[in-house]
Amino acid sequence: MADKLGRREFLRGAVTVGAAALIGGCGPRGGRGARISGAAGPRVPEHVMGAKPMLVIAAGRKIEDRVRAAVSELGGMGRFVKRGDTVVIKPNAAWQRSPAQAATTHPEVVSALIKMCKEQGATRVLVVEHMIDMPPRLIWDITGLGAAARGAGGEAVSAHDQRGYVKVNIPHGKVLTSDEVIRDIVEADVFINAPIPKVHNASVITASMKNMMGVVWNRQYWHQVGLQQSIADFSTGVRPDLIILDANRILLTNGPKGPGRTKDVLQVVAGFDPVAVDAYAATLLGFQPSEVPHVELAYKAGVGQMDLSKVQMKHVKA
Amino acid sequence: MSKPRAATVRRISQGLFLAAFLSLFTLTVWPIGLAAPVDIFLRTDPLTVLTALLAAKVWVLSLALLALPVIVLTLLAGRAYCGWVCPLGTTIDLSDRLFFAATKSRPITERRRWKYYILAAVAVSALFGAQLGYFVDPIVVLTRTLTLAVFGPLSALAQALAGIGWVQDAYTYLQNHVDFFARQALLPPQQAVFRLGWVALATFVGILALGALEKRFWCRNLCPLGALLGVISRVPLLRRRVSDNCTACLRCVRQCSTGAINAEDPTTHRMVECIQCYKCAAVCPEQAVRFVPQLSLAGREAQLDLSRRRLLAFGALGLGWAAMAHTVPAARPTVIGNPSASPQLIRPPGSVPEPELLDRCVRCQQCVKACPTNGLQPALAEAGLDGLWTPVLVPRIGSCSEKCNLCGQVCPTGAIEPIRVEDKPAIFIGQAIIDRSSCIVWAADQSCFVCDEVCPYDAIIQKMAEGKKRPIVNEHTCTGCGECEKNCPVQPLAAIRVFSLGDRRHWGRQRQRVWRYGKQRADGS
Repeated sequence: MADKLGRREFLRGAVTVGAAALIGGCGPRGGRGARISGAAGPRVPEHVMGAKPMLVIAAGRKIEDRVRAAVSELGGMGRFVKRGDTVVIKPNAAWQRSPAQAATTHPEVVSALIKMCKEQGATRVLVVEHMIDMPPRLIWDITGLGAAARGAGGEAVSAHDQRGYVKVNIPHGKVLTSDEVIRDIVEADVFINAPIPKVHNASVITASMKNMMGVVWNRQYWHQVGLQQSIADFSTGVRPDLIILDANRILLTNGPKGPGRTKDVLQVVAGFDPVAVDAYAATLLGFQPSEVPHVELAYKAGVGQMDLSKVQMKHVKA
Repeated sequence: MSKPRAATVRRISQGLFLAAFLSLFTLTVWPIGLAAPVDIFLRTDPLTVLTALLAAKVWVLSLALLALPVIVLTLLAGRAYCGWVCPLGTTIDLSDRLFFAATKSRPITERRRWKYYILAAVAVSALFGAQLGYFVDPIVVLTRTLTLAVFGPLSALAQALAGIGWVQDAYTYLQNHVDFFARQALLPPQQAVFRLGWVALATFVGILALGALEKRFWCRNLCPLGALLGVISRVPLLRRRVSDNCTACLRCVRQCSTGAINAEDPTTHRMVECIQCYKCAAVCPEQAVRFVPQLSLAGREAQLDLSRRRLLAFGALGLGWAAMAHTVPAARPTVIGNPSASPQLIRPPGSVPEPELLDRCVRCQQCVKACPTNGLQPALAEAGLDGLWTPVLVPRIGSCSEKCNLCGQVCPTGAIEPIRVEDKPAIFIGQAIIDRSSCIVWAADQSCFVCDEVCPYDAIIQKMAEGKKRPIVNEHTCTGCGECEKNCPVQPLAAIRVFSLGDRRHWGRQRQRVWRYGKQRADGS
C-alpha cells in the first residue's frame, strides 16, 4: 500500500514539476533589443532617428572581407553585440538551391557574421528559418547554411513547430495587426536580417522586408489579405537591429526560387533602415524603388527612407 | 553446463536482432548515410518474398536470394528464426513476460493448424495476383506498427516537450552537434502525422493481448511466416533428442514456448512447432534433453497433419479475396490508361504501373516512414480495396521533395523502383490543376503566385488574362510533385491540386522523357 501511495505521490510531483516547466518555458524571455513596436509608432531605434539613414556598400576580394568591411564602417559588430548575448540571424534559407544559384543567402555571409558575433563574446548565435521547401535537413545541406552555421560555432534552427512561435502585435498594421513570430527572434538580444536580393514573381523584388516572411508561422495569411501591404505592415512591427544584404550574386529571373539568370554584383550592403536597403536592392535588380509596392507602402508608414538621394551611401573596399 | 548457456545465447540473439530492427527502422531517414540496409528484415523475410514473387508472377533473383539465408537456417535448425531472430516474436516474449506472467504454457492445441490455413489463403491469393499477406506477415506488421503507431506518437511527444524552453535549446544543441540528431531521425523538426495509426496499433495490441490465452499465441496459432518456415522444414537437421534418463517429470512440457512437446510422451515432440528455444534442455533435471543433428526423416508425414477440406476452404477464401480485389472499380483503367481508382491516387515516383504495384507492395510502410516531408501516407480508399495501406502522396501534408529519392531506396520488393534524383523532372506522378473559382489571382485579382514561386520544375506559366497575369499549368513540365498544393495559401482546400490525371507510369520512362524534353533531347540524354 505504501508503495502504491509513494508511486502516486511521485507521479503527482512529476506532473507538477512538468507543468511548471511548461508554463515557465512558454512566455517570451525578453531580450535586450526592443525591436517590437509599441503603440507610440513604428519603432525606429535612436541611432536611426533624426540622422540621415546610412547604407554601407562594401566591395572586396572575399565575401567575408566584404561583410567585415561593411559592418566595421557602420561602427563594428561591438556596437550591437555585447558579451553573453544571444544573436539570431535570419538568412534566406527557404529553398533547395545551391549557393551558386543565388536563391538563398551565401553561407560565407552567414559564417562571417557568426564569427564576428562570437568575437564580441556572443554566447549563442542561432541561424533560424521557417523554410518553404522541405525537409529542413536537406535544405540546410544543399544551401550550405547548416555547415556554415555549425562550422562557425553557431546553431541552425528549423522553425517548423508552432510551439516555437509567439504572438506579436502589429499596432500600425493596416491588414496585418498581429502575427506569430519565431520565439528565438523575439527573445534574442540582437537580431540580424541577412537576405539576398532577388526578383520575385509576386512581390516584384525580395530583399530585407520580404525575407521577414520567413519568421512568421502563417505566411499564407499574408497572401490572403494582400501580400504587399502585409510585408509593409510587418516591417512596422518587427525591426531587425542590423541588416546585411548579400548582394554578392543576385537572381535576376525566375525568382524567388530560380533557377534563373544570376549576376555577380560582389557587394555586401549593411544598414539599419529596411526601406533604404530594399530601395537599394531594387536598383540592383533593375527597378526603381517606387516600382516595388511594399517599399513604397513601408516608406509611407514611416518605416524608413525610400528616396536614395536622401540616404547617405558609403562605398568601402576591403 | 552448456545447456543453460544455449538459452542465454538465444536471449542475447533475440535482443540483438530486435535492437538491430529498431535501429534500422530509426535510420530509415534521409539521407541514408551509412548505406545501411534498412529494409534487410523485410527483404530476408521468406513470406514477403514469396507473396511478392507469386503475386507479381516475376522471378526476381535478387529478391529470392536474400531470403535464402533464412531458408537455409530453417532447413538446418527448423523454426529457429521464430525463437532467435523474429523481432515480433521477441516483442511477444517480452509482453508475455511482463503482462501475462500468470499464463501457463499449455501443450499446443488444434488451433495450431490455423496458421497453415492462413498461409494457404495468403499464398492462393498471391497466386491470383492479390496481396493478402500484409495483414499477417509479422515483419510487415511490426514495421507498420512502428511507423504508424509508434514513430508518430513519439514525434508528437518530442514536439510537446519542445514547448519547454530548455528542452528546445537542448534539441537545437543536439541537432547541431551530434550527427545522429542532425539527421533529424528521432527529433523531426515537424511533428510526423499518419493516417490509420490506430488500426495499426489495435492490430499490434491485439496480437500481444492474445498472450492472455496462451504463451506466444500468435506464433503458435496464427503466424503465416511461422507456418511457412514449418512447411519448409518439417524435419530439420538439428532437433531435440531425449535420452533414456527422462523420468517424464513434464517440466519441459510446462516450459515449452510453443507447447510442442507431447505431454503423453515427453520424449517426442511436434518438430514443425518447435522454435528451438532450448528451454526444455535448460530445465531438464536429468539433463536428458539435447539438440543434436539427426538425419532421419522419420515422422515427416505426420508433422503438419492438416485437414484437406479446411486447406481447400481457406484456399478458396484467398481466391475470393483475389477475385474481389480485381473487381473493384479501381481495377478498370480509364480511357487514357491510368488507374481510375481515385483522382487523388498519386503514387511516389519510381512506382511500377498500378496493377503490378498492387501485387508487389507488401504495405510495410517503410517508404511512409522514410518520406522526409511526411507527404507519403498509407492509402485509405484511393486505390480501392486491394490498395489498402499502399503509399499515396497527400500533397497538403507534404510534397514530393525535388532532391529526394528515398522511397525507392527503402522499398523491399521493388514496388517503388530506385530512381535517380536527376530523372525526377521526367517522372510524372500526377498533374496540378488550378481551380479558378478559388484561386485568389483568378477569382479575387490578388497578386499571389506562390505556386510559381515554389514549383521546382517551372511548370507554372504566368499568362495575361483579363488584364492581369494569372497562373496556368504547363502539363509537359508539371510532374505532380505537389509543392504548389502544399504551399497554396487558399484554405482549407488548395486552389491548385494534384490529380492522378498526369500519372504517366504506364508510358514507361522513355515516352515520359519525350513528353518532357521533346524527341531530340530525350534521345540525346
